[in-house]
Amino acid sequence: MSTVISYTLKQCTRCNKCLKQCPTSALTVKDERIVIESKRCINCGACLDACVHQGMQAKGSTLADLENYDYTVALIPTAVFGDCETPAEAATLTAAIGKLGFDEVVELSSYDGALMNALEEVLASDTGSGPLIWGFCPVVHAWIKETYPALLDRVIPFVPVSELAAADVRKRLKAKYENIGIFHLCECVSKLAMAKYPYGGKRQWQVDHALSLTDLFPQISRLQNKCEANLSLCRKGLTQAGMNLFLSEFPQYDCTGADGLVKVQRALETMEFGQLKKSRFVYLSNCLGGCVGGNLLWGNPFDKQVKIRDLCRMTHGQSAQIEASELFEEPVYEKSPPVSMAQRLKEVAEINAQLEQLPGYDCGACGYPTCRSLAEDILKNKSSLDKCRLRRRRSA
Amino acid sequence: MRETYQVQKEDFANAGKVSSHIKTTLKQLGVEPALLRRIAIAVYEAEINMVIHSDGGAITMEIDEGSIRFTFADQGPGIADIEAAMQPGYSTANEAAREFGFGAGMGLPNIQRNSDSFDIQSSPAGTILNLSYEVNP
Ligand code: SF4
Ligand code: SF4
Repeated sequence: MSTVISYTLKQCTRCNKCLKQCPTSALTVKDERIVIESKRCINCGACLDACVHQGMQAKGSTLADLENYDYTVALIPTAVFGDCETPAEAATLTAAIGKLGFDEVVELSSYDGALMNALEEVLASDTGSGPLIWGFCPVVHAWIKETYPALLDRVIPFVPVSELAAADVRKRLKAKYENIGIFHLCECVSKLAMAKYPYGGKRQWQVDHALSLTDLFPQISRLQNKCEANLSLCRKGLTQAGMNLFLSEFPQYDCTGADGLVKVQRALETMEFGQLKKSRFVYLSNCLGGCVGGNLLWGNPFDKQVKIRDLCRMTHGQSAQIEASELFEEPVYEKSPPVSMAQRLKEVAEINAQLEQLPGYDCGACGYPTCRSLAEDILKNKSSLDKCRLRRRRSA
Repeated sequence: MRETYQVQKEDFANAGKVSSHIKTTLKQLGVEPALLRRIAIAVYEAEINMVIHSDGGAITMEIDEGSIRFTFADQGPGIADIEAAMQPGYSTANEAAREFGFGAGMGLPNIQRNSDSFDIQSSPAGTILNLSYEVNP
């Protein structure tokens, strides 16, 4: 995955908080500025939360892009309704989003519902070894791809819900408009990234722009009181947005859930050892409580899990009817060129030899998240041993 | 590359740490995912066995261009009936182990299934388990 995070401060105070939070060691400090190694970033947003000066920002498109199209459609993720107490509130929220300047709004719960129905069938017919993983969270998906590739074949290859909806919208409108703009309003950084840099697959991606919901929030909340609207949410689809609610939908499969990077990591490590033996399915989400806790949403994830459960009891919409063949797509991952074991052994031995020279505290004072990452850059001639402050102090 | 790690008897708090370290090393070496998965499962089960059933011992990993090999050598008390231990579900795990959630079986069949070559020798003086895997040079 490529990053949508950018560093916006002129000068860094070198607190190293972001370095310490990044799960994939994608950040380093060079010349008093944070450098992001785009390829490594899984867009989890941990560094955004870590920086007390708001130095890290996630950027999507802006509403100015609406002007480039004859007809514009907003796709609204189910997770935003975690903030609504009643269906009427959900309807006004949706209408307010429409008033931002879209010709049409499409909320995604019916498409989520279609995926939930399909999941039921996938679980019933699975005979593979180890639990299945629902890869709806792009952070989890990217992390598995980068760090736990042995588990990739257990990730259910569903097409992202925004893409299902966008394809449906295009099919419906293509005879009427030539230039349709589809805008995915995103509840999290990783969905911004997914729309901007879609991963894998051969499909023609259907979403044109990704917008950050936090950026739009002030405008939405101003419009919200002035709207009247009707909306029929799909109950089954809503359950997908909250972890506890989701798990309660599949009691017969001993599903396990893990939310937040720490727990997700523990679950993935356990699965890699083949030790998750009692569960047939795992729900993994970067955000607390599932997508209702999305890092571009407002409010707290704990109340929102309760609110969305209550909302589910009041909604009765149908799930979308989509051909099973359109719900799945095996992603195609680009393979790095093979390197011989002899060559790898040599490289790792060289890195380990460099590491011997370093204290191994991973203190971050050199600007690298770990001693190992400094050692790697030394070998690429991009850094040197004297960057290590502890070494300097010892030799002084 | 050759590395040796010590494993203490009934050290449940650290059970699995050697396997984690091995897994990390194999990832750094770019071992192909399907192979990595088999090794991870086998090594983990074997390490846990050592913690639960043995008086402690050592795990050695050796890697060269063509193969990855592991030796699990403990200091006893040995497996009385290896044939029985090779049956799925066989367990001699004691109370302490069960309290930690270990010990559904010795996992030997699972280890064998997840290795290219599997060899086990046991006497009261100790058990030696050898696993090896081929890698594409
Ligand atoms: S978004 Fe996550 S993975 Fe990317 S740089 Fe920030 S902390 Fe690291
Ligand atoms: S769990 Fe969070 S990061 Fe993952 S898809 Fe949901 S909102 Fe996005």
